[in-house]
Order: sequence, then structure tokens, then C-alpha cells
Amino acid sequence: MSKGRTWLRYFRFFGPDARADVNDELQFHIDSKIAELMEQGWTAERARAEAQRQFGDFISVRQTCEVLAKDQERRMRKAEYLAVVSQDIKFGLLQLKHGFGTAAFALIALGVGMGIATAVFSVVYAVVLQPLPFPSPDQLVSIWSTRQGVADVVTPRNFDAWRRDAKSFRALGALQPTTFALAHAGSTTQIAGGFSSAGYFQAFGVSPELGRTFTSEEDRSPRLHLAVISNQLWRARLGGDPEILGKPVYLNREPFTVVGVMPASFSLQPDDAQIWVPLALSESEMGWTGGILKVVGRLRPGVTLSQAQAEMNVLARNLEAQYPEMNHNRGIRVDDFAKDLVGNYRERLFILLGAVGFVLLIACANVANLLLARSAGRSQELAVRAALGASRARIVRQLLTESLLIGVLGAAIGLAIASVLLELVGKLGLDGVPRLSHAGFNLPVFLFALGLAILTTLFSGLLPAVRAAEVDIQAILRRGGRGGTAHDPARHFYIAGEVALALVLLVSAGLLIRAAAAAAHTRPGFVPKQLITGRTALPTTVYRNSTETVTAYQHILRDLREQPGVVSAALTSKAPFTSGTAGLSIKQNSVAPRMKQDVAAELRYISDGYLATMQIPLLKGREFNVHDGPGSAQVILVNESLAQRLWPNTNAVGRPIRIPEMTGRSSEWQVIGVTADVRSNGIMSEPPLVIYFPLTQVATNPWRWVEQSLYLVARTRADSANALPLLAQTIAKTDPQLPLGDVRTMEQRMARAAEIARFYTLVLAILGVCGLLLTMAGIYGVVAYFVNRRRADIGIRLALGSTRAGVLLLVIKQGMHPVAAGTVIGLGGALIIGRMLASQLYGVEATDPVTLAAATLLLLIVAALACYVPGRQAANVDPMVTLRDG
Amino acid sequence: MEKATLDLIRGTLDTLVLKTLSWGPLHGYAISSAIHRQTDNALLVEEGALYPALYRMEGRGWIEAEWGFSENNRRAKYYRLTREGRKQLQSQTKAWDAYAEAVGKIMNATRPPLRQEP
Repeated sequence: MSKGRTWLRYFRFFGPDARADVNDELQFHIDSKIAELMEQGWTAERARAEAQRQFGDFISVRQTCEVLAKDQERRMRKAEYLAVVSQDIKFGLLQLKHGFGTAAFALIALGVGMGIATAVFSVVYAVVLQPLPFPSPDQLVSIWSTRQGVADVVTPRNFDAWRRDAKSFRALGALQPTTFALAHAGSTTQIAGGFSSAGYFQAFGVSPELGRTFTSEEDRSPRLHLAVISNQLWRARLGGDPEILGKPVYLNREPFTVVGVMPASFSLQPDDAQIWVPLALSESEMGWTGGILKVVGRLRPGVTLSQAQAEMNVLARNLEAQYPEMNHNRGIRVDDFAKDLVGNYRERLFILLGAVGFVLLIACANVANLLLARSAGRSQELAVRAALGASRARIVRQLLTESLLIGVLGAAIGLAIASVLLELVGKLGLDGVPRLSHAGFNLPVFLFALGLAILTTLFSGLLPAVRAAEVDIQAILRRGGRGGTAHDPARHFYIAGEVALALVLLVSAGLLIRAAAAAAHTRPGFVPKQLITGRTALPTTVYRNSTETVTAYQHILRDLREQPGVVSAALTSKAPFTSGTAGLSIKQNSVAPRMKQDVAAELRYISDGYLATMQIPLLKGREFNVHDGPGSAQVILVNESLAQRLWPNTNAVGRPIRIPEMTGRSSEWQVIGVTADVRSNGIMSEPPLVIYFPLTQVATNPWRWVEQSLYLVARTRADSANALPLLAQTIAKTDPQLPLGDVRTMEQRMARAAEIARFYTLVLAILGVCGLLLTMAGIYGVVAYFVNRRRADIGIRLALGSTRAGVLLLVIKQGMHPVAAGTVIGLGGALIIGRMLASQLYGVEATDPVTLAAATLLLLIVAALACYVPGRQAANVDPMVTLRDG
Repeated sequence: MEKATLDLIRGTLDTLVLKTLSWGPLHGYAISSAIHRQTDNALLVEEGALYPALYRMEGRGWIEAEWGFSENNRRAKYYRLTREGRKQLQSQTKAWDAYAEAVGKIMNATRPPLRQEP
């Protein structure tokens, strides 16, 4: 018997065929039987018949065998495939183990890159991409009044007209944010809340978890004492009482019956409203031109944002005709609610994601260069494989498996790093960013990480793998694996790309750092040191009019000034760096000479001694004093910017101004002084236009605009943080049931306001440094590789009389070539990116030459350093040794 | 009861095939002839049972197949015992011996079985 070989099966043209094999085998059996019978003397015909009879049902046996054979074929093919894959993986791991240094560097570079990228994506997803937890969130809009394109308060009268006349909305509701003094279990705390119209909850389309929200009947004056509470308030403060419906909660000392509890998902931010009572605008409230209504609407199905905007444009003109005084030049803007909510974080986060992408690309380019270098080193092994019959596809697959291993391991490291980073972000307590707390690991984040692993694999592995498979087998085998591609344009291309990306990162980070430095050197317009602040509010039920309110506040101020440790103290309706502002519009004809257009200004009610306590410079005239009271002449202060707007180039002091909204005894007020500007809305925001009223002259109605609340400010002798309890003690003396909230030192307040910008700058700076270091490592790697490959060549040069300095220069020139190209590209990119950054900048131009020059110089120095180290090695080559060994 | 008998027979066929292959690789026809010859023509192996049994055992990895050339130079599929098959043969041989001994003891008994003490 001659022994068969498996590969003979593959003689069949279309590969192995189970069906034909079975048939052949059974036919062979029958033929053998026939042959045997004929040997015994049977005739051919009878032998065939007998053989077939003995065999029995040929077709059914064949079918059974075919099924069994195919089944086995399938299993074999699977096993064979798995064997190849596991062979690739095993071999890949072995390769990683062999080049451990290389692999470790690649893994760290990719892991850090992917970790930061995944963490940032997780934040971007939570804040920007994740749909809002409301049904059909794309139908949800916010609607603003505008004046000259700037968002302005919505007056009650306008809101009422919108909800009555606008046809584009299925529901339209308003919230007037406020704070309530919630008395519970013996203590009184201030919590965020709001007056909400019936349509407010309908617009969101969220059903309460318990009970109900307000009906349209309940949204009518007089206001009923009903309350809907947030899930957080219910659980944290009220113990999650399942029987809460129908029970009272005490707000501003009055009982409100709880009718509903909203689900936890209804709150998007930690500082969102926790409790809602009916808005129920009364006729007198309808007349207010102050106050802040936030209006949300839900578009009717099929109505687009621009259709709604078009309708509101018409409505705005109608309202202007109807109430010319209130609506002169006033427009209406309809915005996507989610976009409005996320605001400028959207832009910042995408810039951050882009920066992370840059770092990751640099890391990928480094890994690609490593793989290029390594596959050049392995060219002999690959050539042998190719010579033994491995197809190009097979070799590419082997090499890609290796880089996929790096990609997947890198992603695993990245996920670990991302989880640490996310925990850190959570601990920072950046309360201002909506939905930041939702950032974490979820399916989209995992998919993102997986996608990154695959993309980095392809990006870093594909070109080197294809390159390696393209090898000229004979040439390499002849050379014995040496020489090869020391000078590969692909390597230079990667380095130029890295340099360009790193430069853009450095310039961006540099611009933001310059902006932060500019902000740090900007004076806020007052002296924040040793200032303590806290807010209280007098309930309208107890302090029913301006006289009672003013008397109570005067008590509080006197007590505060008497506290030991207090140097000076005052009251104001808005302390700098706090949110929420009452504003008013100064009409063209309120002043003489008449202005070209209305001016929007912010209101402050302040006590005497406010400027002195805050150390806000008084530029002209005098400050309020104890003699400015309800009976004396009506007086105001304006800040410098407002004075410039109202009376350009003339002295404002002594000028009269008519302010109908602030009518006390009359609507005429007189300017008695001009103060310096205060950057009260943030150090990087322009100072607002401000008009100060002595709180003693504020009428009952304007008191309501600020919820009869004031900030207590005191300058203390000692460290301000320790002095904070002073405020609570003072309040308790006048009325122990008064709430006190937002208690902070002024320095804490400013730090909080700058926190997010500072964090953002820090992250970009870290990314810039990461990019720079990775690029440095990349340049070093390529130059060192070049030197290593050309050792013999360098030896010859030295032997032929080249100076060591000449060799050093040669190497540096070689290395800096792609760096120069990358720098040019990077500068172009930086100019483009700088324009995108412009809105984040303060006090520095996007094309700031100092930043551009500094970043370029830093990069070039680092690059030269990265070339110098291997260059020196090259210069120190011993020509004798290399010539002998080379 | 009927099924047990069939299984026994099929199991027996497997054992016979394994035993036959333990002498060396053979194609299907040769296996069937060998069994026929070795049992002095007492056992006739049905092709309808033999080939499915071969495929089944190949699937279990007891035997492996290779295409080769027969004595008269025709393409034929040769089966060979694997290590797994050899182990299987040993255990089946042991089981068969035990079975045959037990059956033999009864069939060759000269006394009735003892009654157990109460």
C-alpha cells in the first residue's frame, strides 16, 4: 500500500468537497467488490448486481455519510481558523515580549492617550451628546426676549401674551427662579426654587413620580399654597416619606401643601430648583417690567424651530405695537433647549476633545514609527516567511494582529486611566457644568474606547504592516537583514505630523495660559481680601412693605457692625460673583440729552457704607449716607461705564434721570456720585452697567423683584473663613427664623467662578506637555534609529576624515528636516485653531505673536535636544570598531 | 430492550473496526473484508452500517482518514487509528472481555444459583 498525503485532497480544483469524497469512497468499495467477485469467476454483469445487492441502499448510506462528513468539515475549518488566530496572537505576544522596551513605550503612550480621550469623551457624552431625559427632547425649546440681539428678561405681560397667542407650541411655561426659606425639623435653610406656570411641567413632558403638577386653574391669582418638590429634596430633607402628598412644607413661614414629587431625572444640575409653587401672576405682577421669567416651550409635532421663530418674530412686532413702552426694539428668540442649557461648555468640551485627539494622533504616529523600525529590523524573518510561501495578506495579517494587541492592551490601560480621571473630575465639584455628574462608563463610552483601539491599530499599524509585506525577499536575504530602509519618507512624514500637532497644542495651551495670567492680573474693582458674604431674604408675609423690610435690614446691619472682628459692613442686593441679577431698561428719553437708544442696566440696592466696605473707589460726588432716607431727595449712584453711556464726556453728578419702574415718591432720581466699575459677573466678563439705589428709598414693588433679599457683606479683622459664622449669629439676633444661604468668603467666590476656566486651562496645558514629550520621544526614536542603522556609514565618514562636529551636525540636520516642515504646517494650523479659541480668550489675541514665538521656540529646542543625544552617540562612534564589526 | 441490543451491536462494530485498524491503515473495503476473513466468514459487516460508523468515529477523533492509492492504484480513502482511538480500543476491549466472561459464566454454569440466606 502506498501511503497517501493529506494535501492530495486539495488536488480538487475547487478545494475539498465532502460530497464527492463520500461518493468516491463508496464507489471504490463497490468496484472492489465487483473485482473480487469477478476474480471468483462471476460475470461482470452479475458481479455488479451482486455487489449492489450486498451493499444495500446506496443513496441513503451516502446521505448519512455526507451529513457526518460535512459536519466534520465545518468543525475542522473552525478549528483550523482558530488555530491560525491563536498562533498569530501567541506569536504577537512573543514579539511584544521580545521587544519589551518598545512595547512598553507604545502601550504607555497609547494607554495615556486613550485614557484621556475616553475620559473626555465620557464627559462630552454626559454633558452634550446624551439626550435629555425628557420625551422627544428635540421639541423642547427655550424662548428669550432680546434687545439688540442680547438675551433679556421676559416680562410677565409678554409671557402671558406668548402663551395665549403663539400657535407653534403644544405647551409653553415659565419659571421665575427664586429661593425659599424651608423650615424643617427645627432649622431653616435656603433652597433654590421657582414659581412655575402650569405649562412649565407640561412643556418638559415629565410626569411626576408621585401626585400631580399644577393645573391651569391653579395657575391663576390669587396664588394657592401648593408645592411640587424635587426627588432630591424629598429624599434628602423629607426622608422620602411615601405619604408626603397632602402634607405641608413650610416655605417663608407659610404652609404649602405638597401635591407632587418629580422624578430624580427632572433635575439636570445640582443647583437646579428643588421646589415649585404656582406662578399665578396677579394683575399687579403683570405690570412688572423687572423680574426674570425663564420660558420653555414644546413645539407642536411637525413644527420646526425656524417656523416657531418666524411666528414669534411676528408676535414680537404685534407686542411692540400693543405695548410700545415695554417692547420698543424687543425681539424674541427661540433656541434649542439642550443647546441653550449646555451653552458655551459645548464649544469648550469639543475643543478639549479635539486636543485629546491630537495627543492620541501623536501617540499613534510614534507607535507607527516604532513598528516601522521594528519591522525593518525583522525584515529577514519576514523575508524567510515569504520565501516559505506565506502570502502578503498572511504577513500583513500577522503584523496587524500584533498592532491590534497593542491597541487592545492600550485601550485596557486607557480604561483604567479614564476611570481614575473621571473619579478626579467628580471630586473637583464643578457644579456649574450641567449633567457633569452623569459622566461615567456606559455603552457609548465603551464603544468609543473600542473604536479608538481599532482606529489606533489601523492608524499606527496598517502602513508599517503593508510596508513590511512589500519586502524584496531576495535583496534582503542576500544582504543578511542589514541596511534596509534607514531613510524612509514615511518616518519623516509621521514626525512632521507629530510636530505640527504638538505645535498647535502648545499654542492653544499657551494662549489659554496667557489668558489666565491676564485674568489673574485683572483687578475685580474691589478688594476681596477678608470679605465675608451671605444672603438672607425677608418673607413678604411677615415683612409686608418697604418700611418693614428696610427697618429689619437696618437692624441687621447695625448688629453686624457691632460684631467683634467686623471692621465695616454693608448690605447689597447683589454681591460680585453671585448669580441672578435684577435689571431694568433706561429709556432713550429718560435723560437729557436724549439717547440714541435704550440702555439696559443692572440694579443694585445698597446700604450706606457699601462702597467703603467693598473698597470700590468713588470717582466723583459722594456715597450714600444715613441721611438718604424715605423722606429725603431721591438719589442714585452710577458706575463709570454707565455714566459714559448716559452722559458721554460730561460730568454725570447732579444729572436727573427718570426711571418709571422705580417710582417711589416720584420717578425722578438724581445722580450724586460715580463709582469705579466692578467686574461683578466674572473676571473675564466686561463690567456691567450698574445703577445703585439706596435701599432706604426702594419702594415695596421693586423689593419684590429681588425677593426682599440682600447680601450681607463685612470686612473682618482676621482670616475671613473663620469669621463666616458671624453672619448667622447676626441674623439670629434680629429674627432666628430668617434663612441664611450662599455663605462664602469673597475669595472663595472668586475661586469658584474661575475654577472651571482654570481647570480647562490646566487640562489643555497638560495635554500640551504630553504632546511635546511624545513628540520629543518620537524624534529621538527616529534619529537614534537612523544613527544605529548608519553606524558603519558614519564610521567610514570618520575614517575618511570627517570631524565629529561634522557628524553631529549631519545627524541634527537629518533629524530637524521633518521638524522644520512640521513647524510650518503647525503654525498654519495654530492660526486656524486660535480663531476657534477666540471666545475662550481674555486679554490676549488669538494671533498673539509672543505665544506663537514662544511655543515654536520651545518645540524647536526640545526637538534639537532630541536630535542632539543620538547625534553625540554618532559623533562618538569608534571608526575602527564599526569598520571591523560592520 | 431492543434498542440496547442494537447499541450493543453498533458498539461492537466500532470495537471490531478499531481492532482491525490497530494492525495498520486500511480502506473501508479492506476493513470489511478483514473482519469477514478473521471471523472465518461468520460475521458479515453491512456496508450500510460500516461507512456511517467510520465517519462517526472520524468525527470523534478515534480514527483519521487520508487519501492514498490502493493495491491496484486507485484513489482510496485510508483510515488509521489515532492515539485517542487506541485508548478507546483498550477500554472497549476490557469492557468486552468483562462482558463476555460474565455471559460465559452463566452460559457455562453447571449448578443453579445459590439461594440467599434470609
